[in-house]
Amino acid sequence: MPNIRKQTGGANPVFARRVLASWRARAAAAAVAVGAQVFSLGAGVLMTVSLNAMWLAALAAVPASVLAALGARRVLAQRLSKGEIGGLSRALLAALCLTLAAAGIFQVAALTALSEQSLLPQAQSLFVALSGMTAAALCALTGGAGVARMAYAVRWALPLMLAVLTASVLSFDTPAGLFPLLGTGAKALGLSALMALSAAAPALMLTLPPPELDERGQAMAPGGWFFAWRAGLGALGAVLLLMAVSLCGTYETLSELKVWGMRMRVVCSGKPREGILQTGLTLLQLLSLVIGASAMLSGAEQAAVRAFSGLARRRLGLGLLFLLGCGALYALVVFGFDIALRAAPFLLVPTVVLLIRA
Amino acid sequence: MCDDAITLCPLLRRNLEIFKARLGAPANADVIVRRFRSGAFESALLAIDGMTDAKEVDENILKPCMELAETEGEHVPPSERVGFLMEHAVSILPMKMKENIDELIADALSGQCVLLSEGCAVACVMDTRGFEKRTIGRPEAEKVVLGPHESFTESIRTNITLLRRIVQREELVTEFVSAGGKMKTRCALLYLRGTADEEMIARIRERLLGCSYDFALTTGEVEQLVEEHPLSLIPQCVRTERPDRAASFLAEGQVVVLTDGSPAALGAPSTVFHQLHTPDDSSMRWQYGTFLRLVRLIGVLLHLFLPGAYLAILRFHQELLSPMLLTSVYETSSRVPTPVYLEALLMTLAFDLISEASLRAPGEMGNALGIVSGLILGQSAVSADIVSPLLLIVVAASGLGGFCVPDYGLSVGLKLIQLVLLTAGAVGGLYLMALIALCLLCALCAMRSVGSPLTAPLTPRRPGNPDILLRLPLRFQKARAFFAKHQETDRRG
Repeated sequence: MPNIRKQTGGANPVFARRVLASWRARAAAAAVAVGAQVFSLGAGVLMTVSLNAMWLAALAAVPASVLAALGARRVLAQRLSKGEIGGLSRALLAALCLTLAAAGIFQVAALTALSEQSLLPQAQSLFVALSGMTAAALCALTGGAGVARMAYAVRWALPLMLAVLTASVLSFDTPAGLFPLLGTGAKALGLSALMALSAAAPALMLTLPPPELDERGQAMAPGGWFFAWRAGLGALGAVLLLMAVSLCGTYETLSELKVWGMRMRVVCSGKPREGILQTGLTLLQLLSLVIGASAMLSGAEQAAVRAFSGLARRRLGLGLLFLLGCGALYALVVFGFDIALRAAPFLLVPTVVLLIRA
Repeated sequence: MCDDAITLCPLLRRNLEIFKARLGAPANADVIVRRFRSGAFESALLAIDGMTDAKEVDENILKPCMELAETEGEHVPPSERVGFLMEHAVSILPMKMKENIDELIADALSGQCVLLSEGCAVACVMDTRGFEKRTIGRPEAEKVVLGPHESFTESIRTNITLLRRIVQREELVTEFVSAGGKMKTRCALLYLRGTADEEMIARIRERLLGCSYDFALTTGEVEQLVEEHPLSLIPQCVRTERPDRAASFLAEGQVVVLTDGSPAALGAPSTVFHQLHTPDDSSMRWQYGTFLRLVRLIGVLLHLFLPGAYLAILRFHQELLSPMLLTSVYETSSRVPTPVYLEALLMTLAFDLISEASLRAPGEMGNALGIVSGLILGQSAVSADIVSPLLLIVVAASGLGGFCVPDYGLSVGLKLIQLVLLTAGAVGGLYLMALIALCLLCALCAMRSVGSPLTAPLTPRRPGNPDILLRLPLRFQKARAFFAKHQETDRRG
């Protein structure tokens, strides 16, 4: 707040408060998206590599998210808010668009895997995937403001309810998770931690100003730590969720799970398909994933519109991203979701390369 | 000047011919044109029969003018004759001098009298409105246990008086705006100067003036003119028929719009939380008010989600029910001839049918209709195995929840959302219901009411009065609403 007040010269406190509220909502959306990404990646990739040590590996996503948020604010926020952008910035925005779109599609794939294992085992994968994608696109249709405000509204309620429900459905009979490194060893843990770094990709959406701010508001942004601690908390929340599973599940249970959806179901509960609490927990995770996915999609649309001026026509960018997402999900349903899991760690690479060059 | 028919000319006969031609007299029997001698010159009075107070016109305009001696006013210049009559004869308070014929006709049609004189190209408009109107009654849609029991009427003047009696402040401003094309409706914009945001007032005024529809506007139509999202199922202004509630809108920094002929006021901008508040919340102690608000919120959630969740659980998530209950449900459902979705849809529509019929049926017949339909038909339908008893309980509980919604417009919108969620529950279980609910919530969060976010101050965060879901003690409610110009000012000051 003081930072924004200084930027307005203290002349218009109401305007400063509104700008800050928009950034707060944006940061909340990024935090939920980071948490959802860490959760999906943990259940998808890290669990297979490092079993009970997945939470320890996922911990690497916390500093990565903090750094990504700091970098996004420092390097890009001022540069991209200017009217004219150069070639490198344009390339960076294009890469950012692809990274965010890929992260969004990855989260829709995750919610498909989760839902078809726990909520809708009878339904076809394509129906679940496409309805998830449609919902994410519809949420993003509000221009990002609706999703961001929604994320801000549930910023405390969502993690709190997740924590309460997780605590109530997991069984803490097995102490195996207390010694996570016993199962896999340091090498696997290091590899997992490297993969976990890519979960910071959603934090890069903080390079883009909230769409509802006018030109005057876009030039104003809070300091880097304003975003950093929020992104870090989002990642930490997901790590704690993974940790709860690690502490409760045996190595045997985790290593035998071959399908991503089944692994995610275990992340939901140690006692699958048991009653209202477990369904409630799955629904909360589903909501986090949809909020994350739609925040990513609206961020990708915003980056696309800035990078390619031809997409400035209303909602053309989002329409193209929706089609891209539907195509990608169709391919995933046909060829299997594991392809998405293998590609996920590379999400961050192009953007980080261009970010360093910028 | 006389031929362009835009402004008056000095010839009285010519002016009266224009008025008669425009108003269709003498075929139009309601038009009254009374010519009379007023001192040394001739004058005329134009009015619409039934719209004016005849006694006031006789005693305060006609009689004093006609009693002037024949020599009086003979030295007055012709262009000042109307002014002379106003100074020496007429004894009525609100008066305006006008020369535009369109404006004069509009004034006459609204019940005012137009006084013209020979040789004078200006007329005087006098407020002599005296048509029949309903007396102040009790509110029908916003009944309260505690608090005042008077409601607005169809007369805009009476409604403004009711508001002014409560808000006795020098900052209270009343602006009249004529909305509509050829058939204009008088609307009043009331706000507290210095408290309501000028930009917001200008936006509402602009939208009302921009209306070009040729029909009599009601508060509902004015609401549609003011709102920003015509496709939304959620109202974007708050409507009330209670002067005390409208006064609280003014204190919060909202603009109150009154429409002539409608017994309701519109408060704008509003938030979605305004729609869930009732005047009783403030009249009661904060603990009771908070409890009632939570009950209302639970009612809304039951109304929206219960039928859909019932179908979703029955079709996709049977593990959520105990084996005993599941067996019982399936046993009763197996006797019902229709699929469970159709059964639920028909029951929900039947409930809405009963509710609508009870509302439209005259007087006490409505109550009887509700009892007959609800109890007898429901009982008979279960006995005849047309519907399952559990579904009947679900629909009834959901319907009761719907009656908790204080705003009628919102309750209809929620009914439509309930049907969407019901279908989602049947097609894709809790998964699809969650997706649709999230889409609707995101859309709600993005909506605005006259420029201010509909879900604020919860999200986006705005400073101001924390009276959102919980009714906090009065000492925590010193600030005005976030859309007011100065939130920090103490509302009691």
